[in-house]
Amino acid sequence: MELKPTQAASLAEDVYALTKYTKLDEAVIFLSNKYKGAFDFNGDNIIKGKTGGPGLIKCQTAFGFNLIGSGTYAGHAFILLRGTQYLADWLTNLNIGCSRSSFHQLVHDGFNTAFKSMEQQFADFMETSVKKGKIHTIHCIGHSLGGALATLCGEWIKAKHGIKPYIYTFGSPRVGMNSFATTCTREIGSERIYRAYHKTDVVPCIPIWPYVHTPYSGTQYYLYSPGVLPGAEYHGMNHYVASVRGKSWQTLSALKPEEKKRFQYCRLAQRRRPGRRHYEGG
Amino acid sequence: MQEKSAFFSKISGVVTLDGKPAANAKITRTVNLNKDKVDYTYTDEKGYFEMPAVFQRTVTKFLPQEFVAKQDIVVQYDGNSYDIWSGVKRTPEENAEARGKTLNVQCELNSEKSFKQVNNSPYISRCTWPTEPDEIDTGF
Repeated sequence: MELKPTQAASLAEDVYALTKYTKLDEAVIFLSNKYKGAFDFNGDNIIKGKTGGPGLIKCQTAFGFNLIGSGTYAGHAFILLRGTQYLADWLTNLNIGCSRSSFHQLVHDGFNTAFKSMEQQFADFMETSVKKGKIHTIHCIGHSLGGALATLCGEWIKAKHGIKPYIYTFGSPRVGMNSFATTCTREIGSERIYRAYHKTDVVPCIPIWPYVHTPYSGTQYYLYSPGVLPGAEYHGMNHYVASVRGKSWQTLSALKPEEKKRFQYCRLAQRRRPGRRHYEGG
Repeated sequence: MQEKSAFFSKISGVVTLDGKPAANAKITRTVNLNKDKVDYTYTDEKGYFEMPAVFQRTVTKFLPQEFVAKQDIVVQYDGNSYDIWSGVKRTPEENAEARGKTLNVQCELNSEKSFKQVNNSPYISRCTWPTEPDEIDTGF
């Protein structure tokens, strides 16, 4: 059973705050107030002592959060990954940067390096919580760079554990080359990959060709946003939360016909700001 | 391009222990975006304190950034330490904590921590303030 757009967007939004709450009791207060009985805080589900915080996935600073479902969501595991204010720094490595993913496909080296630095923590979570916890469904969720990491994490779960996870991304940059997108889509299934993006969010336009989006085929969840040219404003996770609120994936997929236009906007933006200069901002 | 962001808006309030004013308590405030910035003050004989807003310049890049400022306040009183405020401010506007009004809090050191979300920013605190909380809809 996949998550609804509102659910996935809420978790992608809340992981930003959750990774700032490093005390276990505060993380529990936060989650139990906002998500009622959806998560299980008993036993060692949430505490992973080795990495220092409650359920935290770290990469220099806390980058993600693992959760185990309870009640209606018993049997579900959630891997939440956040973006970074240093997205520009990750992307500036891109011009030459390319390395191999879990299925040995070419992906952006900056994203892959970030993922690899957390891989052991995902492995620990799979060993301790997922295998022993009768988990049948895994959700990988992220916004921005977190969306790229969620995609890589989903591919890794399939490659290493043979489980097909659900992947939900909001304003994700392009993760890998054509071969990565096709392999990942074939292995996991396009029906399990939910990629939502705003027309005027600049991040889904980068890295530029030859990088392409995952899923390679199937439905993409294009969201209307005002304006003409892609920029920074509509990358904000708050806008994604507002755009999907109360809607179903089916409703969102009906917006697809405007897809072609978005690519024109992306190309226009690239013409206006050629080379790598625009990644460095300022 | 730079813009001025409020990491912690001006705050004033009264600190009590079991309903009685906590006089001369040390209030230590920490704000963090990329690194910690710490300041402190003391309550007067009525338990009252106030602290100015903490602004910092944030660089606006061509690529967007999420604003995620961690706020903490710890009170030291009578040899004990109480964590009375742990917030994550998600918008850079001043006074977002109280929807545009000045943040004025009432903090009982022996109370339980409670949760309140205002302007998309979650606060876990032993303080109360009159602002209406957000309506929360996570779909769960």
